[in-house]
Amino acid sequence: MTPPVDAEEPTNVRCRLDELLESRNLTLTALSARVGVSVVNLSVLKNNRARAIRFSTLEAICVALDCEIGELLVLDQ
Amino acid sequence: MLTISIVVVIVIRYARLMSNFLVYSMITTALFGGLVFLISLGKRTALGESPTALGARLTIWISGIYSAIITIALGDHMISVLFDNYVEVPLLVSVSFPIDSLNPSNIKVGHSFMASEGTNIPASVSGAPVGFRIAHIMSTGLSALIALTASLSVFALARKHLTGSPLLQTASKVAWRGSVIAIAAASIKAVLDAISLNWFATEFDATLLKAIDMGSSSSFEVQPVTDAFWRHIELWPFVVALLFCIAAFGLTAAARLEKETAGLV
Repeated sequence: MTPPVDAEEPTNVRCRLDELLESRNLTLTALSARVGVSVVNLSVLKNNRARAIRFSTLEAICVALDCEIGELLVLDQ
Repeated sequence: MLTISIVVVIVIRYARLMSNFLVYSMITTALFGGLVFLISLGKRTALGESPTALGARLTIWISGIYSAIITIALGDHMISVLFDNYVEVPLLVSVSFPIDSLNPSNIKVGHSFMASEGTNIPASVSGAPVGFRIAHIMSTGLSALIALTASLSVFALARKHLTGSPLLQTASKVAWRGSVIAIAAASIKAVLDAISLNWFATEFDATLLKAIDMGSSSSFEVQPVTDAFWRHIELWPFVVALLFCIAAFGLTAAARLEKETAGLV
């Protein structure tokens, strides 16, 4: 039987937003203006404090950074 | 939603039943004092170094229900005072008397004289001796204070455990100290209610006996419930408690919503 998922528990999913931004010489503010997501929420994502992400946010960031979803989110083993 | 509906129905139902008790009955006040003590213990656990989510949730629910009951009961009492111009007093009658011995013109609406020794008679009185009226207003004020601190605790714990707000340290301290204030208020209220009610009952009994002996109607000097000054003194602590109660529930709901959406980007 699959154990229940606890939304409060930290996960091993890591967001590589800071690395992607650095490689593209972009700031969080600039990305915020491009994707229409608040700097606060992007900061939450960048610092791995996000617990869930909308498909629309994911799509907008990947389009703006010209990357794949797998490049943005990775699973730390 | 079903759980919330059931809780709302129970709270309203019991608040109406307890409205009289909360203002006058020493036994119920003492019981509620005990409940406040338990809440405080729960809160102490909830606010401790390693708070458990269950302890916090239980405390939020108990404090919330308690706050709602006491506020609705006070509201019910205030409606009686403001719109119907009477207060309900459960008088402990130690004498037996026939209904005919009272002058019918002296009987107010709500009087129900079914006397036997040691019976509580719920009487709706349009005035009471000044001393009792002062004690009764102080008792109402203490109830408002208990409602206020319980509401504050709900808010503080909701902020702490639902959202992890940075305000939590201050809010927790306020909630913990508030519980000490609530215990003190409940204890003072229990003693005050016991003394004042006993005094009023003795006064009422003595006047009644005298009236029966003399075959006339009973009367003693009273402070009318309709006096504007007294009404204001009684009304404002209730309004403050009501506002705090509503704010606590609103903010808890907001905190809950914030928790639901926390971390979603």
